[in-house]
Amino acid sequence: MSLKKPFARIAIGLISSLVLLTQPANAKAPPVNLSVDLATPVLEAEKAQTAFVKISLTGLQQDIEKLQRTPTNITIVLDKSGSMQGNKIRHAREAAIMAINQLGPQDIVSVVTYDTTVSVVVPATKVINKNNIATMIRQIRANGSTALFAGVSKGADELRKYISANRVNRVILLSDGLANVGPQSPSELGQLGASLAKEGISVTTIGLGLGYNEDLMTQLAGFSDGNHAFVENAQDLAKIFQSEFGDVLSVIAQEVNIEIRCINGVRPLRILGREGEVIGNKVRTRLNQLYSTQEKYLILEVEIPPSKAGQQKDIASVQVNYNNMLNKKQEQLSGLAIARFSQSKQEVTESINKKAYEDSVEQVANAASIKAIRLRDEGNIPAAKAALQQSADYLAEESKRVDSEKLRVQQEEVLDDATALESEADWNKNRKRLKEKQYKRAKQQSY
Amino acid sequence: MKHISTQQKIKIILILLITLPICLLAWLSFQLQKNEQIVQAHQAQNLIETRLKAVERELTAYFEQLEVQLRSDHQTLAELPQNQSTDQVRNYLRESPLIQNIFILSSTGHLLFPPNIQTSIKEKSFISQTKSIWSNPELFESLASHEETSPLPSTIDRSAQLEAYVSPVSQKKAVASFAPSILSSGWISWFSENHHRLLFWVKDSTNRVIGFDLNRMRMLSDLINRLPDATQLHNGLNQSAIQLLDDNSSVLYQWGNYQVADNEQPLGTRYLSPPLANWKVNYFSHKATATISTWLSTLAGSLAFGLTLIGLGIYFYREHQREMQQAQQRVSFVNQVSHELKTPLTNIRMYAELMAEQLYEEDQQQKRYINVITGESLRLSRLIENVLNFSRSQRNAIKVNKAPGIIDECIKNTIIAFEATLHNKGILFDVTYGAEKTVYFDKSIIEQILNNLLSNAEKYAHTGKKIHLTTLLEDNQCKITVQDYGPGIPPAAQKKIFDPFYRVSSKLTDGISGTGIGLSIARQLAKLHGGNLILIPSEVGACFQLSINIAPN
Repeated sequence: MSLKKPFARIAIGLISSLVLLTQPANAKAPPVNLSVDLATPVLEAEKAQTAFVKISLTGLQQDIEKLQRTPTNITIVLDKSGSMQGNKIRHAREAAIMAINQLGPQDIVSVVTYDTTVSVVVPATKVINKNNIATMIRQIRANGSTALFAGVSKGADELRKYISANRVNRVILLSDGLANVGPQSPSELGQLGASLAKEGISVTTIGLGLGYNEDLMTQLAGFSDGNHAFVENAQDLAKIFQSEFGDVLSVIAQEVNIEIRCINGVRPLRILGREGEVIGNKVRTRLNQLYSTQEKYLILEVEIPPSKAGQQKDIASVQVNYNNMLNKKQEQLSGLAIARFSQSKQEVTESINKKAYEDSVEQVANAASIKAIRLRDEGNIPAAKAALQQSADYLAEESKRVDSEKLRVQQEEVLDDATALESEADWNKNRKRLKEKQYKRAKQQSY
Repeated sequence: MKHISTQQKIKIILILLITLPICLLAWLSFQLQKNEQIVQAHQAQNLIETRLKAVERELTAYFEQLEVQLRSDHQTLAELPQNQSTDQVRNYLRESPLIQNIFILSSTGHLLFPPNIQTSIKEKSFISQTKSIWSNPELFESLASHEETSPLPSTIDRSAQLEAYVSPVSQKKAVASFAPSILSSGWISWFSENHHRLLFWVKDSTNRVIGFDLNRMRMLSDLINRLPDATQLHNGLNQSAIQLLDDNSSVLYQWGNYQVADNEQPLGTRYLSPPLANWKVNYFSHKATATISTWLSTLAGSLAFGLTLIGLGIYFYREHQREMQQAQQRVSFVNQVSHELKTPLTNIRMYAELMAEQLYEEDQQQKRYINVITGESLRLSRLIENVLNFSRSQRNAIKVNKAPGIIDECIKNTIIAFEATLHNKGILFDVTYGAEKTVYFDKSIIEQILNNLLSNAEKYAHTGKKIHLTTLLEDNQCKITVQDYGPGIPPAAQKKIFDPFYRVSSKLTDGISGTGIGLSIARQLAKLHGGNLILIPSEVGACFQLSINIAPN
């Protein structure tokens, strides 16, 4: 690192952020692009203040056709409890069969269903005889209770038969009801998700209809870095499965560990949108995978001690380790956030990194929305509305400041959400919609 | 009706013959079944026990493997140099799916990890949550010393809601060779955030203690993955189900094909050993699956037996019916013949009597002949009357027609009919009349009875030369005694003389014709008339007493 620093300093003469590749030896360009940006690269001098650092990882477009696609290891865990009877289970079966048709002989798939008990319908197998798999899936009939925890457990166990760092290991869970056999609280399922993530398994949760527990489903997906979707009508399942499999098939990096070290007395305050571990001035977080052509980022709010005008300081250095799925090698990226201090407020405003600023504001507003739902859950509708109103005001102000259309749209959304809070009748549905929206926003989900 | 016909008797006997063995068989098979059930219940219970034990073994095996794993992890962590230790432990935690937190205590009881400074929120909360554990070194001491003596869970410090157990692996000596530096290890179950959590600690020879905080959900997930899923039918759970329940008795996992109803009582329960103390596995199944089939076979067996018996019974009954019918036919034949004989006989008697009246005084010879004809035809008509009465009594067709009259008159008439014949044999009548009042009785019945008694006396007691007749009125009863002075009836035969077709066999009766139904008919008639005919003891000869009811109906 120390060797690279002088070079970095020179290079940022005009730009305020820097991307560094620490493995120039690799002939091929790395599939992932890291950029570390301060939303406000020029800060007011002589003043302790907070600032947002955006650490962004973008999967670069790959010529998937030419390259070997990352083989997958997927378990589809289907809820076949009594509530799934009829159209729901029919669409679920067809969606699963259609999705599996996208896979090839290098992929591994298994299908697990659960009601009161758990059945491994298709044990982990290479996708060679698709007709066989489809026949087994077509035999699924709905009936019974909802042993969601055991279903996910058995599903993950099927994955483990072929688990490998060189495969995309994923559980796709479809549920339309509340778990009622075994652990059923969001935090318990979150714990399981966190444990699976450590093995490189992501759980994507698809909530069908209005009966499922959106907290449980988002926590399970969140802790394991999977996707989450709310599907109101069963006929949309096929589309969602399609998107999910599209995501799975475009994974280019896995086990992405991000380590941020705040320097020069900068203190990390919070990570927006994602889970992370803060120890002293170090922040660690982890993404299970990166997809090609998708940007995943995290916003770190930091506290910066006062500095003299004209000074230039390193704020945070970032190191990213990941498993390159294309060449099956461990690779590393690093970056540095640097701030300049100025007396001129105009300079501060003019130098704003619009994209990073927008994203930071978006995540702050998103955190406010999450808080608003919590207040609404406690029954405090006025406080929840006030929180959203405040968030809308904040978005309005900031959108004006950076002249952002995106933030204006978000402000309108937040105002709509504030009305959505009121209706008692539609709250169940609205809450699922809001949870899904917040989740997608926090994790930059592609669909 | 008091009187039970032979037909009915036979029916009853046949029914008894059939039902008794069936009842006996049913009872025996019931007893057998009961024993069988006890045996089967015992076997089923054993089977359930075995299955539940197998489940427990599977779960215990998980913890044994886990302990071996954690002990080797302990080795790795303990060997780290001091300056790298913190980072390495954190890396270990980031990688380990099962371990959420770790604390390391130095030999003096100080926390080496998590460090005092630069700790994450998660680490801080873990330290504060487990303060009661790591600040209490006795928790690790006492178990070590108890290890050899008490393999059972020892509960310590209830107030802090802690429970400590000796680890199953610690009890096995073999482990010592695997990890020689480890002194002891054990489990602590503690309570936080409404859940029991598990902590495994290992203490090495330098008295350093490492505590591993398990991710409860991951542990449960691993346990579930060791248990079969619903599709694995070969484990013989087609008609049963097993549930794994936690310490709050809520179902964690269930497998097997059987549908468990709400609040259904399990057929078997097994409480798991520490560290899963208070967890249990429940076994459910149909209660009587095994017994129904044997019940069916027993039922079929007894049914077949019963049917055979009933068939046999019906066969015998039919056979008997046929014989009875044949006998009936014979009787009705005799009856008809008797009827046919009666009319010409009456004519013979009537004309003989007419002839006797028209004979002159001097035709003594002819008169004697006519008397013989009249006497014999009278005897024959009595005989026919007896036969007809007997068949009537068989059909219960005799009716008593009481009419007012004087019994003594009736007796005089009867004696007149007999006087001639008796006189020929030298028998005299000695009559004591005592029934001159007009009473109600059936003349023909009284005559018939007396005819029988007198013809018996004529046949068997003519040696006595005398017949003594007494009549007596008593309230509603009239008693008529007929005493002869013949040889009498042997005591052995006295009871049987009223049975139909019974004839006393002796020198006396040899050569004398008779049907053997006379006394039987006489007694039946007497009974019909509300009285009885009995043999009363006398010094000489035989003495019959007839009593009849003489009240108007």
